[in-house]
Amino acid sequence: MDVSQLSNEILSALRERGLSDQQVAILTPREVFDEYCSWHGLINWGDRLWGIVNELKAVEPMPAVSSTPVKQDFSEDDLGFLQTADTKVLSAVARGELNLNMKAVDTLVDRGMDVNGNWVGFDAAKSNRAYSSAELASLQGFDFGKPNLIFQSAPCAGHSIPLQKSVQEVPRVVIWIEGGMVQGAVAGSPVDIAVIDYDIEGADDDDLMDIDQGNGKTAQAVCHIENAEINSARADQLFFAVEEVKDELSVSMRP
Amino acid sequence: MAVLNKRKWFYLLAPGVFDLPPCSCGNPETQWSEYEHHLWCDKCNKDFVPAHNGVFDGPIPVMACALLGISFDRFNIEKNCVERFVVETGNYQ
Repeated sequence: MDVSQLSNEILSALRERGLSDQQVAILTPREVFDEYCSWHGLINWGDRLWGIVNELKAVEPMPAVSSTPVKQDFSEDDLGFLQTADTKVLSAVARGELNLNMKAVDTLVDRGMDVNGNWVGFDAAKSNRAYSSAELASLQGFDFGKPNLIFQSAPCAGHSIPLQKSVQEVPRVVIWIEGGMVQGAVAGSPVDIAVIDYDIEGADDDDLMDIDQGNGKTAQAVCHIENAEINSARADQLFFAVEEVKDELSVSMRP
Repeated sequence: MAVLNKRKWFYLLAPGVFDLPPCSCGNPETQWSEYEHHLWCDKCNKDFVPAHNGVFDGPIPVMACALLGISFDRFNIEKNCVERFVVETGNYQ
């Protein structure tokens, strides 16, 4: 997370919680929200409120049809599929009851593409599916690009879906450790993992490396590069399991 | 039929402190029932579901509660120990 993009309102709350900017930088938006809520006394309500906001955004009605002409970059041939579309479908789109944006995203994912039509591979595309439409709609900062006829008939101004951004910025990586050693890793998309173990007791001198601590000092560690197995389904499964444990930990206060 | 789950913990302070309502008989001196989400009225000798959950029905201003002397410390029945609520983190120790 780019800390510089956070407002003073949020940053000051996080700093009051005792978090440094470096610690904030590695938090997810959901975790930042939870910390913000906690600082304002909404203990254990962050996850629930975040979920409710996402749920409401998912059912947010489409904005009214705009009468503003939109530049058309598509030929009649490009849009010929509309002629063959069922009237029931077209009218639902015209009324804003059918979100063709999400349908288009799903179709692109099925083709192994990102929202710009670039091939990213079926594995990466499938990992996109881990994000529910609610989560997709809730995250900010993705620009769908030029408006087209579909967006004109069902405009989505301010309704952004950061499919590509979410996948790129929040890869899911699960690392398992046993006996103080990293035993393996699985990820939803290709990642490089550097393992730095500062527990050097019993390590051979030849294996020790000096690691820059970022404060002008160095510390010795045993390091290696871990190869993560790419298995988005397994990564999602483990993430959900961890989320369940987390939910259990943040027990309800209700007696 | 509603499932009654045995309570695994209870707050050290009485339900009334948390603004939980009295029994339908009017007795405000209720206690935590042995069942979750229930209170015990020792005048009626019955477990009952309170009409509302007092401060637990909404976001809890734990810091303001701490200033007012309302503690969320609780007794863990399974572990037979008191768990202290840490206001700053919202977790139990």
